[in-house]
Amino acid sequence: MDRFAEILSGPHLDLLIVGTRVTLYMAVLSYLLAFVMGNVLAAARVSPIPVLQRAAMAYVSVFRNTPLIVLAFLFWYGGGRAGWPFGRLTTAIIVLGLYTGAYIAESLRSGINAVPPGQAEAARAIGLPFTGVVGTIVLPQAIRTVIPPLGNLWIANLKNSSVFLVIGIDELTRAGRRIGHALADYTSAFIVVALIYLALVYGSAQLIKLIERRLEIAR
Amino acid sequence: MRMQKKSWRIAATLAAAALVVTACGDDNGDAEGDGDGEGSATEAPEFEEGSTMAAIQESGTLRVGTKADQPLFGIEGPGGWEGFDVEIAKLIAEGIWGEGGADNIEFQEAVSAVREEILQQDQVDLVVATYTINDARKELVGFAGPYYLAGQDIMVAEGNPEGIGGIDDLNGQTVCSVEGSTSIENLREMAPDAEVIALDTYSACAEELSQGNVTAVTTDNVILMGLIHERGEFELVDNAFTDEPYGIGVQLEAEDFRDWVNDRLEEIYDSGEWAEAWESTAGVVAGTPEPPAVDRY
Amino acid sequence: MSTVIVEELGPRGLRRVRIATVLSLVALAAFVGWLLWRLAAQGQFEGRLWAQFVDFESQWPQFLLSGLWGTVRAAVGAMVIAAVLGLFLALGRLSPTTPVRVVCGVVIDVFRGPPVLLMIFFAYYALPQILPSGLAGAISREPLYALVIGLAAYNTAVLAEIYRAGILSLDRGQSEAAYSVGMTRGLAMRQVILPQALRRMIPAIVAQLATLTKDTALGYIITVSDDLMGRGRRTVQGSPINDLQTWFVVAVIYFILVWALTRLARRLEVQQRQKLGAGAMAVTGEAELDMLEEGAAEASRAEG
Repeated sequence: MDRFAEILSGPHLDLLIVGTRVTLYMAVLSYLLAFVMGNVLAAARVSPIPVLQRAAMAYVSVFRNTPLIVLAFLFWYGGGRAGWPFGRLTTAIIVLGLYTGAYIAESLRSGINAVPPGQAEAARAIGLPFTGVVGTIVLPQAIRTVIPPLGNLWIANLKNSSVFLVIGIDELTRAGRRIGHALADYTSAFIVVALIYLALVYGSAQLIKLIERRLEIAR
Repeated sequence: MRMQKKSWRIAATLAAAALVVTACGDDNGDAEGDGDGEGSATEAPEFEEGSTMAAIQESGTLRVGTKADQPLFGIEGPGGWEGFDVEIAKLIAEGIWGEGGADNIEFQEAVSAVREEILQQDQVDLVVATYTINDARKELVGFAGPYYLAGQDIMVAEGNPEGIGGIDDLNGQTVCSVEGSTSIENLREMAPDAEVIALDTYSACAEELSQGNVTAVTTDNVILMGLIHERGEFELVDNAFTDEPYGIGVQLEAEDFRDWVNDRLEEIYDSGEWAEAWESTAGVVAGTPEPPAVDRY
Repeated sequence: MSTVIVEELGPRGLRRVRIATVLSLVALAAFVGWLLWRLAAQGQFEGRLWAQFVDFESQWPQFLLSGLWGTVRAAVGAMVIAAVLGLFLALGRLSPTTPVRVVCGVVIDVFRGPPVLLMIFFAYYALPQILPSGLAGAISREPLYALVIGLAAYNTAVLAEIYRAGILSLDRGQSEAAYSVGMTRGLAMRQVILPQALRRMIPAIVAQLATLTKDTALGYIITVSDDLMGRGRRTVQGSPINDLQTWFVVAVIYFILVWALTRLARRLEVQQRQKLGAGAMAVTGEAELDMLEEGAAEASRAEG
């Protein structure tokens, strides 16, 4: 127990706080990017333009089938050789957002397919163009349908942020390793870090349930 | 007629002598030096009955643990094992069997984590593997040497644009090192105002330096030398600020062996073979230091 | 593909689509072209940087085959362990005995909650401090073991949830029929429910194998040297400096492997639909496969 008290105090606690903050910062910003990407890709997927369809399919395929760590290296070290202008943390956020965006795109696509066709027909009947049909009528309903998967992708996104410690990001898992090394006791350090993650995941799950319930009522 | 025969015999004797001298002088190709061209051990010495050295000599094999992935010090390449540690091991073998003793070495990879274990379990006779001597380890294994004083140093881009002269200059700079290493702890302690980027491998740090994301990389000069050798676009500040004495690990009970290895080390210090070993390996990227005094404890 | 979003296109519509197509093509081509030009300007297409990967005599066999073999070994090893242990965990989670159910539920959440990288770190850094020295030494010496242990622990919990979802999705009629002919719960489970449920979950399990294969790449961080990432690291440490080229080739290899597994999962799933019709588990695309996993998590949380 003393060990845990030791971890939760002084410089070690600072490391944990900084790590948690960086993790959350990365998670939020990357998810926002992912959400935007996901919407754009889903729209491209259902658009009548084959080029866009194919491009979106290719993007989704590439980003879902390649390990995130390899993508991180490609963008940070590979990109670095090609004049990639963004800094370390920004790159991490971008790569993570692009990665999760591919998953969100697929979720949204199935959500779009679940929206009753009558909705789209009615939208066109009142004269909305493609962008309007998708943007104003279909997507919002699709999103509501897929809140649970989107919520779980948020959780997955949050956990995936840990991978970026390989390019030197000071996030939570790295903080745990550093504390473990300093104390020569990795077990306690990692247990503390795991508990923090569990808290974040549990909190997220509750938040998602809350959002679902709210939207149900709105319907 | 008698005159010619005599001169023939003289000529023949001289020729034979010349042959013998050249045969003795040219051993492993790395023994060309400052007139001490011959190795200091040309024939197998006699060892006391029952001593470790005698046992090794009789067995015909010296088992050595060394690094396999540390450029310039211990690396296993397509041409065999190379590096400064490897050369030291070879010189020790020559002390046991004389010339050609290096052929009796059986090398095996000794990663940092297992160096004590393989000695304790009698898997090797010697460990020459960038092995820092410290008190904790002295409880588990014996150390001959040190045979080299490594130390933490700094690597910067070629031309040293930021003019880094030592650890203090790192304050205010972005510096890379490996998470969990002694080097990074020293860095955080001695240059608290440096921005530290902690990665998982030194080659990743080298890549960061190469791309200009960091100003410097810090760790043991041995590792830095290897990186410089491989990538050729960096330079060493060459101002070590810690002391890492590298020793030759032997089994804890083999005190006679330890004493003898120390003797052998002093021998090769004097004969210039130690310097030659350095020059043919790590010496390509760094100047030749003075051999450190061995520590008999 | 939802065709109702856009109606049958008249001449004006077709023209607009054509314009949009051309614009998109131009934009994409410009982007890709610019990217390639930037890389070329930095000399990234120089022959010597790519030479290692085209030299089929020496580098490819060692690099590709042995690295790939290491990756496959790690993935399969972890999967087998997870598949077996996960089944027990799932059954425990479904147990009528409350303490067993609760404990298993906690175990699943604890092993699934943190990032998989943390589980791998735990296996690599923490286990050697806990385990007796023999095992501990084995793990320190060969990080691949830690990778497999970490992955297995995480995926045991994930598979447990997949199993549970599969079992629960089975038509209740099956279990009721089994009980009505006098089978005990255990017997019903073994003879009737599990065989059917397991068969239906094969696509989901294969899809999870694909994810697992991606996760083996994390072994790089704990210095695994026998797999694809390890080979990548060795290549990058040597000369010439070809980080971009190396990781690109590594990415392509992973992509092919994972993509093949995902395709297999989808094909299995389609086969199942054909065989079982309406009774098949509703697992269509990857999105559903994800949702299935999440749905299982949802179900578990809803049950509490």
